[in-house]
Amino acid sequence: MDLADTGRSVDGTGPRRGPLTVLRYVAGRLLQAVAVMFLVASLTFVLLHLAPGDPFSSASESVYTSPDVVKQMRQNFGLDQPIRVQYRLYLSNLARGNLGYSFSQSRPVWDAFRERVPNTLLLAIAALAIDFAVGIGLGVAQGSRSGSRIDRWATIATLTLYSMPVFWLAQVLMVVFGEKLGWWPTGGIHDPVTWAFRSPLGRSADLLWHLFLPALALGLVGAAGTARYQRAQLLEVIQQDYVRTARAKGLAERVVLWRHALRNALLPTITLIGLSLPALLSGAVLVETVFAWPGMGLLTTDAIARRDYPLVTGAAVLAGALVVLSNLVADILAHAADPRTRSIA
Amino acid sequence: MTPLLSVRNLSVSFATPRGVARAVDDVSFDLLPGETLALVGESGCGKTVTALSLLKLIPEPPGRTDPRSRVEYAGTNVLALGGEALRQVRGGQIAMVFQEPTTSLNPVLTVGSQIAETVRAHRETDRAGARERAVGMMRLAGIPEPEERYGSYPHQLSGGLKQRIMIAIALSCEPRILIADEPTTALDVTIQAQIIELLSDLRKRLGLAVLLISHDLGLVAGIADRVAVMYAGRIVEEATTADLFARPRHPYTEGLLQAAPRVDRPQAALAAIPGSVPSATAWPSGCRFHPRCPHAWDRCIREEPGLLQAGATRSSRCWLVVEPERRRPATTAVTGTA
Ligand SMILES: Nc1ncnc2c1ncn2[C@@H]1O[C@H](COP(=O)(O)OP(=O)(O)OP(=O)(O)O)[C@@H](O)[C@H]1O
Ligand code: SF4
Ligand SMILES: [Mg+2]
Repeated sequence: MDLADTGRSVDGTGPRRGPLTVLRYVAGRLLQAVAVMFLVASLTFVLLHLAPGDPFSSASESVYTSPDVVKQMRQNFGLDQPIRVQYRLYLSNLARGNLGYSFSQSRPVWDAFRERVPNTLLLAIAALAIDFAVGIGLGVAQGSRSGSRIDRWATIATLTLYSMPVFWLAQVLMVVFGEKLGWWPTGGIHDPVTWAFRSPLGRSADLLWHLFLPALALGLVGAAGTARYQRAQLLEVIQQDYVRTARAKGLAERVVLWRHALRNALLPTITLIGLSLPALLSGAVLVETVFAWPGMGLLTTDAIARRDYPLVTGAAVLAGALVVLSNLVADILAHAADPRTRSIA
Repeated sequence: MTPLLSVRNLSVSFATPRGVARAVDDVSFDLLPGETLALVGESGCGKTVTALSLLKLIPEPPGRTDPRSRVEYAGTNVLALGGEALRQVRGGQIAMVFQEPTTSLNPVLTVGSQIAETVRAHRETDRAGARERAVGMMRLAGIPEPEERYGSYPHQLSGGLKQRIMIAIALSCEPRILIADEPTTALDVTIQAQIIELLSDLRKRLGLAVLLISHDLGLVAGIADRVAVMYAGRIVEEATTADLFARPRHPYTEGLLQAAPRVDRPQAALAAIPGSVPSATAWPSGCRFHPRCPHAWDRCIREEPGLLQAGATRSSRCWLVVEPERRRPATTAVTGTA
């Protein structure tokens, strides 16, 4: 064979991307994140100030607080300043990482967050785990035997779940498994009585015990969406030519599914993890109120009712930061998982 | 010589919204050891479906292979195999190269690993052994710098190189039969010739029997020993390449020959067969070619001819074989050849 001849056909490698391009990509995305954060912070500020009243409006109506005291407090917190000045002050504080002082909690916003954020993160991560474990598992099970009875039943189940409001599902779970059956606690994060006497292991067990229902409520709705998405992805990938090639090569059906089909079908789902975070956070607010889970959601709904500006804006900024960050991470993950976009340094 | 592969009464249909598409209808042919049989025909006449069904690669549903169909290989009916036995035949005894190298390779796996996993599916060997064999196959398939290319992803290679990878995959476990479904259609003209040359070279070196599928008669002329012409889900003519080119016995083959660009004829003289392949859900009555045939008469519309013996080693599904006087003069036949 004439090998010299074949040499001409070698137009070689596709686009190569150096580490610099990746850095530039990440830097660009970070800049974008900062811009989004600024917008979130400003929007929250504006919305909150558009609403009538301020943290001391209820105090000023009270007969127990003298108008002078209220005036003094407004002055102390800069609420007598023009909006423009308040806004500038707020942004410059924010840029330095100072979220301000919470009126309703009577302590710095950060202190309140430090206590509550881990609880919400725990709930969100547990829900995310349920979401993707159940969702991907079910979607793959359905997609690999589409049209079967399992597939049809799962389709009905996921569609039903998918159309349920989170707070409603949370309440149903609480009433059925918490109140009626008593299998899991109806609320709280740990048992107020036994907590003090428990060993570290016992405490973890108690925590998980309390975590289960809220995480399930939050995770299941997401899982339904994930399952439908994963099923569709797998069905599409199974029709691809390279899956046929894998069969034609004599690979076992198990290898065809796991190595060839699933790898490709899972790629888009990775991005979905990042995109599902906003829904997860807003869902967490609702679930936390139903289950009295002492997280950011409970804290924030409480603060909204009391017009606690610094805390509400702080929570919004934090949520925005989380969403932006998770999108960034998901993008980079998806980028790295797919050789077509991965850099070849 | 006893055939290596013997296809008998292969019928494959698809359930479609517009009815049952009888994509392949009662197709029979033999493939002898070491020979190259070309399967030619226009787009949509059932070539790919024929090829895929030989290895049970038609998705069912919507596809359905008639239970009377048989694909005899080494004394067994491949269509009756399943599980491990079928897996052994696929890639191990009968291998396939597809039309689209770009979509036929898995985008997220390195090309080297896609060859190596084939080796490991059929042989007792460790990772290193499979890798070594894969690199050897890449070299055999004419891929320069195979060691470096082993870790490349498909999108990093040109179409021609990807098709060479497909060929390396197909031949990595020393199959006895290679099915190549339009292996060059998706490639540039210059690359096409290289791939065809590579295939014919490897065939000789490895003693392969090849089923070469193409819509281009000119392409197969140089390498095929025999040609089977397909039209509307049926084989309509079968002959040695020399006989077929010297004197086609089916009007459809004549049309294909006239449509094929040839060096001895200016491009302007190109003639296409009038009309197009009918839908597989509604084949015409009688001879399926009659709406497009310049010689058709009433018998052709009523009665479908069988594969009629038209010589010692050839056959044609055309009534002209038994009623040659019905042939119309060439001037009224396919236009544009004057
Ligand atoms: N999955 C399918 N579902 C429904 N119909 C199908 C399917 N696959 C093939 N067909 C039908 O079978 C017929 C033959 O298709 P086939 O792909 O074998 O043609 P071909 O000769 O290979 O053409 P081409 O030159 O375009 O590759 C077509 O009419 C097509 O509509
Ligand atoms: S049988 Fe009749 S219609 Fe069919 S190809 Fe022969 S002459 Fe034409
Ligand atoms: Mg085809």
